Amino acid sequence: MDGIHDMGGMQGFGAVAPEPGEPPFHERWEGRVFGMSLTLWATGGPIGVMRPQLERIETGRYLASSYYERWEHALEVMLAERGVLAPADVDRRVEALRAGGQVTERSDPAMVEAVLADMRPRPPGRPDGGHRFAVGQPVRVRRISTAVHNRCPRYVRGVAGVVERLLAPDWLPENEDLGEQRRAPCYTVSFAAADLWPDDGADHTVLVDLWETYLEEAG
Amino acid sequence: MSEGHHHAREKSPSELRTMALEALLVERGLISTDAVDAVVEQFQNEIGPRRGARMVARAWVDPAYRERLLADGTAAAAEMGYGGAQGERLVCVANTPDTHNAIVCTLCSCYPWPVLGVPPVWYKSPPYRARMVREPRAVLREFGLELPETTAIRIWDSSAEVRYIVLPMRPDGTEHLDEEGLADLVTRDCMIGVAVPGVTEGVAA
Repeated sequence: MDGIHDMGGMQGFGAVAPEPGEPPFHERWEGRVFGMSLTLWATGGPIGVMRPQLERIETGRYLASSYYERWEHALEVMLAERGVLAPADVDRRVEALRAGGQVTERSDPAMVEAVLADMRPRPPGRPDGGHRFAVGQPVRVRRISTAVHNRCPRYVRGVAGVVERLLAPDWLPENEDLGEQRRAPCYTVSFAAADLWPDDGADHTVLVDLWETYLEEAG
Repeated sequence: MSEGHHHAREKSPSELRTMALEALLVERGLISTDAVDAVVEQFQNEIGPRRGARMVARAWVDPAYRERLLADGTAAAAEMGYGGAQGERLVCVANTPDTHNAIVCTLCSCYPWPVLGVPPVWYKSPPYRARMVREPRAVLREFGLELPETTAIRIWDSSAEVRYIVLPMRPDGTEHLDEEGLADLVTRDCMIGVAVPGVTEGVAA
């Protein structure tokens, strides 16, 4: 989807604004949104991949929302899609909380162990293999156009680069959006800034990780 | 709680919706309060840039570890006990006298959680995501990092499943420091690549 999330190279956003001594979470609810999401993922709960939902947030709302506001919204959408709860259920509970209601509490040691296990090292994944392109080979990014979720930034589409590194095959993002699962080899591709933005006069290198399905032979 | 404090602070819509979601999910048995507590506690107290700093410091004092870190970041992190979600494929890129590296995620906010914790707001913000790939020298200058014209700049956009961490160069004059002392020099920003140890302060964290 060619949405606002795909920000690489856009102009007009102003300066970066670092915050000295920034805490992990600025408000308690931000940590709860993060914690609920990780708990649902670690336990195979009824949510899916969050990125497609974040990208479908309407442009004005996306820019006006904070990171964890977008996560909270995406959680609601994913839970509603799977019939777990409707937005109206959340609305009603919000009203109950305003009237003095409390958040129900429950302990589950097995669930605690599951989330902690998800934060520990894992056995190595599948070995690399099946790559069509080789390190050092020139490649061009296809000018893909699709309404579904993808991980091919606009700023590299149609641009030629060089394969820098072979990466293990991974789930195709498009298929995650469509509820299917298929792996394809990935690559780190190196691009010269002069090829990405020819009029800028910049001399740096940008390295972008791309699925093989986004690439074709350059030449 | 006294009557006076009861209405002291109006809850924001996001706070209320989050509380409502948590209540509903707990009641449906899909999450537990202590599991959410555990995630928050881990990311507030255990999982943060100190982990990455320990890896960098070890790489500075132990050439064999440095080699393993650059060959397989995931395995080198696991050696220290670090790993898990958003660190399944960790790649470490090393700064040299001629080359400076920095990381960004232009499409969302991908970040190596197990070794740096959750990303700062500026890393997730449109200005950084938009500009870091296009005008890195200008962005680095705003962080107080002025690199020589001759230094090659390499920006890593984590657009797939690899998560990156920068291995900065060990500053001169640190021969007397032990591993923990060296780790003190390595800020989060040094491992994102918007600062270098001992030259700019970066943003504390």
